[in-house]
Amino acid sequence: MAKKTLVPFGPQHPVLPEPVHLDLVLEDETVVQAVPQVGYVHRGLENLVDKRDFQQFTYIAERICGICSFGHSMGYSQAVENLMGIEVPERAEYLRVIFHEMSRMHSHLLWLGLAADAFGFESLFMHSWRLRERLLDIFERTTGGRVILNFCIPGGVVHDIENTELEAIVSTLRGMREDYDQIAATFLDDASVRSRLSGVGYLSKADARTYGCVGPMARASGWDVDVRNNGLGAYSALADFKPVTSQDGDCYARCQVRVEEVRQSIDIITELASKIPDGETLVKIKGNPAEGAESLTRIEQPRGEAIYYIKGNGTKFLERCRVRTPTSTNIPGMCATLGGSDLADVPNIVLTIDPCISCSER
Amino acid sequence: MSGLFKLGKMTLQSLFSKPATVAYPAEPREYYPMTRGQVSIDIAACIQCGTCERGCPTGCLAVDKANYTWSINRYQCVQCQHCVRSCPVHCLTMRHNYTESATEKHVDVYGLTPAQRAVKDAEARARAEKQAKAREAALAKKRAKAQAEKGGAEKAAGTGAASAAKGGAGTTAGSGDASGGDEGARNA
Amino acid sequence: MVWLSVLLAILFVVVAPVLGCLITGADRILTARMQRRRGPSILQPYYDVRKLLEKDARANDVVQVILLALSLVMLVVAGVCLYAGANFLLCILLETLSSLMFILAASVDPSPFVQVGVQREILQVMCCEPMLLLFAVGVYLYTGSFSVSSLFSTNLPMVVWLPLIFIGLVFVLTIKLRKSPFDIASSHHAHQEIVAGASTEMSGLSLALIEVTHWYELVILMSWVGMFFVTSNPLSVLLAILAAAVVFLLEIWIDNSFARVKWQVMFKSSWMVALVCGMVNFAMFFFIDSNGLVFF
Repeated sequence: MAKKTLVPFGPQHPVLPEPVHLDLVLEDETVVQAVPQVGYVHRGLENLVDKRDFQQFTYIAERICGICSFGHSMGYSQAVENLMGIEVPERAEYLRVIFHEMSRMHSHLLWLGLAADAFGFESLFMHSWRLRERLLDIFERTTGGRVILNFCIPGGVVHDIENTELEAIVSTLRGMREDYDQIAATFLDDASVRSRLSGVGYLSKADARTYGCVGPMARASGWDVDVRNNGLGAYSALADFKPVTSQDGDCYARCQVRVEEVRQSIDIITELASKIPDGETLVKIKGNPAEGAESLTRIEQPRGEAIYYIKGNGTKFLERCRVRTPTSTNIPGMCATLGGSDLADVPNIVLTIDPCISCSER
Repeated sequence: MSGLFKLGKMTLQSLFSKPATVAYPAEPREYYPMTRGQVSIDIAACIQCGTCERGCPTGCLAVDKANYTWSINRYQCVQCQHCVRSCPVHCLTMRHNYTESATEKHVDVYGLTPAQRAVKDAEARARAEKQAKAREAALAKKRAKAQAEKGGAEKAAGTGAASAAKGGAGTTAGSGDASGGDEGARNA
Repeated sequence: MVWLSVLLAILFVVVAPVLGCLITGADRILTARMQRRRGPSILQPYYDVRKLLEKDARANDVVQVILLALSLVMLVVAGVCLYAGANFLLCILLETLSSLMFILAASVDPSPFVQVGVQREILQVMCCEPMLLLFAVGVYLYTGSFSVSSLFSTNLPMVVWLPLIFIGLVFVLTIKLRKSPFDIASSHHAHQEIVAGASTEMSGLSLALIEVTHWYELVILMSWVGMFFVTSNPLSVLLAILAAAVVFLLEIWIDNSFARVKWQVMFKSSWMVALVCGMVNFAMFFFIDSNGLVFF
């Protein structure tokens, strides 16, 4: 007869990147049930469409989250362009995808650091973030900001990036490879890391579909769902794109998928930088969204599929902007895998969905 | 055994390498030229159009047309550069160093020297006079035209078009300067 | 030689915290350097304790403070035993009792994180004890007595005859020093699933007492390492200090190169190491004739 204790995990917990509350019912050190509570960083950003016009709202969309920032600005801009029937120049599409892939790299490196911290490997955490600094330096050099880039607005991108600058970016990324390989080897081959990640938080492919998981969480269970398969924007220019998947469905598999996606992003950026056409990068937007017009866009954020729905009402203010972020969909899957796990596995499982609570609560 | 000490090499190498961190603020930070630090203004070139104030997503800018000042609450600014991009005379620039920390929030107000204000006032007066003269000239032109039409209408045999022209001329002559100016612009 | 014992005992009580503070500071700087950071000043642990002592006593439980003070006193007595050349088994026993006092003190807090941390601390003690007892038995087999001073009348350092016991001690040291991969109970990094483990709810005087206890403990543990290298030659003390320094650096490197493992892995591996090292090393003894051998 084991004693049941209730451990209040969060919202303030050193291992969580963002505040989420989990009531863990424990028997000795085994989690019997996990009840989540969200709402600690709800800022009511979607409500601001009433007070900021549709072009100003780009800045707000960017600031929904610091990690997925560029993705939000890109998704919102694409949604506005669909709404008003604006054709974006091709060079702008390429630049957007290059920066989105760099954003994916920085997000995954950040996640790798947090995952290392979750299983108690602080020095690996520091080294992963040290590598990430090189990406942030690229961002600052080219757009002026390390985290919030202000680069993508409806109509294209704010300013052009010279081809020489793109070459410099590609060579910086290639220079990162050696250090990154060492870090990746530690994540995937180190015995103590494996003992913490293998077999933890198993989610089968059927369960992943039932719970509606997206992104690396779903791809690690063998389901190759990825919005980039649809070839929107400059993704159609890629010679060959296959999402990274794994069949194991546990925390180790998700780590593996994210590690490989960083390498895949470097390859995508290299390919697009060599194929990028010359031309304009911004078209001016005239007029306001039509009354009753709606548009829906999907992009593959680092955490999964994000949906942007906006509706116009004839004025310069939008009627509605709704963002469906990947973390919202992944949380039920996370709670399902928490049942029956050890207390020591809880941080690993919580981090394995790459929780971006600011995104899911806006 | 091969799965042990995978990070051992990087750890040992780091022990003998220079730290990757910067001891800020003791060590100064090197900014990139494009870094979005804070907004600065060449106030003498500002025409107080208010585009930046209307476009700012956080509402941290305020333009006072009468006193020729431009003020910014740097603690609300999110360095989005929208004002810099939308300014029609390009008097706003983005400096690459961040706003310094302070113990109290305050609003930075940029204004002109008395000499510059005198110049601006003189320019404003000159502009106002020019506009007034233009309006008077247009009004005079229209009155002359109306007289000519009146004369022409009397000559013609009282048709609907003539009475309509008279009626139109009557309203034009009767209403004030402002509408006369508009009418003059439309007719011209 | 009573005066020497008394002198060493007094030196231990006075110098050990200073030494412990400096070594802890060096530990933090070396760990930071291995992570490409700068690290704090070497006196940082002293600044921390001073700050903790200056805090307002708002939520300090009297029972907890008394138990923690007892824990500190027992550890100091254990060190005095060691440095005065007294019974080594008593030293180990007092050190364990000191850990148990800490566990009792921590169990006063009702927080669930603390309770889980307390359970893990008990487990940690259970993982270390077998090896430490075998260590004491090894000393007895080598010198013929449990007295520490008898080590100073040997010709060869103990590590020559008890190398596996030495390796086992270093393995268990990782647990005692709360370093990865075995920092499961409470460590200075509050990132674990149980925040800071047993010391989560402690602050002010309680935490200061724990810090100072850790300083003393550090010196005692390093002295245990040094015990393997002392002989009748006075220069062997230098060798012992050097060996302790090398082992400490090794522990820091291990801390930065491993993730934290789960308690099941720690339990299995520490008992396995104790069993293997103890059995193999004692088997070596029973078949070889040597100086301090008792059984033949």
